Amino acid sequence: MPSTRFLFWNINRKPLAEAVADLAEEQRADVVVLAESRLDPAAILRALNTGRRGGFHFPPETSKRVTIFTRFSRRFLRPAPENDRSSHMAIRRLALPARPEILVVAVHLPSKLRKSHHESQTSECFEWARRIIAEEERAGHRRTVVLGDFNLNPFEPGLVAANCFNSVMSRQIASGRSRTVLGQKFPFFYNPMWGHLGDLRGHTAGSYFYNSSEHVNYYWNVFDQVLIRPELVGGFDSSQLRIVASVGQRHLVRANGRPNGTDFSDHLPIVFELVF
Amino acid sequence: MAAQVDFWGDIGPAVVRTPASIMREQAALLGQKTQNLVEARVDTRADPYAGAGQFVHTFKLVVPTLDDYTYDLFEVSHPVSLYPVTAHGPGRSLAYMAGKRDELNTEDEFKNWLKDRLGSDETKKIIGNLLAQVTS
Repeated sequence: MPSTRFLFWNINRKPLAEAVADLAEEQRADVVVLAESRLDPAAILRALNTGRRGGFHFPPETSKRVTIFTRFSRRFLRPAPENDRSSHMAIRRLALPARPEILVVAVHLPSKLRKSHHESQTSECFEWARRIIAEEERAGHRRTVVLGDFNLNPFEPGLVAANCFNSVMSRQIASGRSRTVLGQKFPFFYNPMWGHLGDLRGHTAGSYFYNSSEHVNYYWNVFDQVLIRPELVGGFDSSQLRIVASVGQRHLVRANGRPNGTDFSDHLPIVFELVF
Repeated sequence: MAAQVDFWGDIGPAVVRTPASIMREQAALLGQKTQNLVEARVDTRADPYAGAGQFVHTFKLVVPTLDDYTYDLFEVSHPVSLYPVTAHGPGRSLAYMAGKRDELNTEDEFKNWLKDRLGSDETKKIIGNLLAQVTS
């Protein structure tokens, strides 16, 4: 079965069209999702399709907060009925010829910095998870992948709670499909980003660095994540999931491993591959 | 009980290139020339004016980054026999009402007409203006 490669990057309102295009080419991305892009989509499309790069399309826009480009014909990546253009979430149906349809959900959830209560984030996750389930029921399947900037770490309630994203760190647990709480069934997501917390792979110990003066300070965060329903987990290779620290000769991080937010973004991109 | 007799014989698609497939082939090529800033597509419907049996194909220019702005470049219609093809401006335009339409009796005639239409100064100007709108 053919594989599809996804790239997500919160570009923090920076003019990074060329870096995005180089990254998409280098990573052989089929679907590119950007958050916090203030660039004209036409400028990004031109960059993506300049020179030896190319083949990218701009599918019908469905969210003000995330911008999506794809190498597939735009008719294969259509907005889903549950989509709400003003939302922090874009729900698309990716229906490629001779392949099973999947739902691609791109998110950029509100920042902690702008929320007075973390409980508000959790409440919002409840609502977004509900909308994803509603769209899955309409589509008649749960072949769903969610990617983006959640502004939450994998261990926070909005991502873990059963009635929110219900995402777990183990594909073996996720393979149980769902858990029942107080008589209600909630479908699992597998969250492979748990494996990217910490400095096991080098100085870069997450996708976003933030140093606060609060008592609880993680310094490194993994806000940029991918969640995969058990129905798609069989086609997910953990070794292909990476937090990207360079594009060609350009380093997206400083010597200490932290994102170079001056020249690039304060978030690092993530890439992964799905076979379906 | 007597065996059922099949009066249908073998059925399969005719080995011809339909006007719609020729148009779609050309539509698919436009994006490559414009970095996909302006794309083309062909929409097909039954003709509500000419009665049953008429197909109408509209050749549309689409600008994805301008909220899918769509410009109808021209239309062709034909009966189920595929030819002759009648080509005219979009919709029931004044030009159409005034009888300004082309009758194309064969695939070769239609391809020549399409080549002239797509390569015309008017078409190039329209696409150029759409590109200018996107890149300004």
